[in-house]
Amino acid sequence: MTEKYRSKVGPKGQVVVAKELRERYGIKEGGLVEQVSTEKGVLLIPLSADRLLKELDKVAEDIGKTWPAEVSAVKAVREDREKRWLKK
Amino acid sequence: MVEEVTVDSSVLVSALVKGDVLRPVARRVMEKIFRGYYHAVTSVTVPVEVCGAISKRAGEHKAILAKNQLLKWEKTGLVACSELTSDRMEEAAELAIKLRMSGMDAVVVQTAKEKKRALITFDEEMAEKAKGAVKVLTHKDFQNTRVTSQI
Repeated sequence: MTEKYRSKVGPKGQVVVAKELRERYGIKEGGLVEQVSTEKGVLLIPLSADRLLKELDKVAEDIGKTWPAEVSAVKAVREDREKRWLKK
Repeated sequence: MVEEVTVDSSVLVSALVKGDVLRPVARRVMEKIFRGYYHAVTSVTVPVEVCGAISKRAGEHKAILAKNQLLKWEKTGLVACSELTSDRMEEAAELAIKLRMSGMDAVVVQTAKEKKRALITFDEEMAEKAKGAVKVLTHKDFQNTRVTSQI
């Protein structure tokens, strides 16, 4: 079901999200929301830390499948930074 | 209170590679960022370096996945990027000279130094040298920490 709320846009584009919606979607002061441009307008998606971690874990799992086990992240970055010197 | 930090590529690559020896610690750092304990700012060169490191070792497709994550974090302000200006270049050059470190190390240290942010790096060589200019946190500082509350 679609519910509609109306709010005024502030001088710097600020829009107050209705209290009911803030409570329902866990939008709190200091929290982050993602702004997605859609055909109908702007969609606000609350960025939950758990969701971000889940997303990170999924990407890390995928990358980890082809990353060489013997190379640590520290070693990889150090190698790339020093490579020019090692080549000489 | 939110603490301003600068994250090095070693932390981001570790967080993005499952199986990396320091990934549990890197994940804890990312969790602190996601939960709002840390506001991370790094040099624009860092995401580029992370993508290159992953592309070379895990393949182009995997590096694109990493790039999308990094761009999302950048756009949402979770890991903001500081542009490389001529003033910053000059300060980084001075750090490279003074601390005898590589150019990339110096650029990242400069980002931390500019706003007195703590530098988080898992690279002990970099950490040792950077101590001369900024507060440094390494993997050892996160070994026994837990992140509990949410934003």
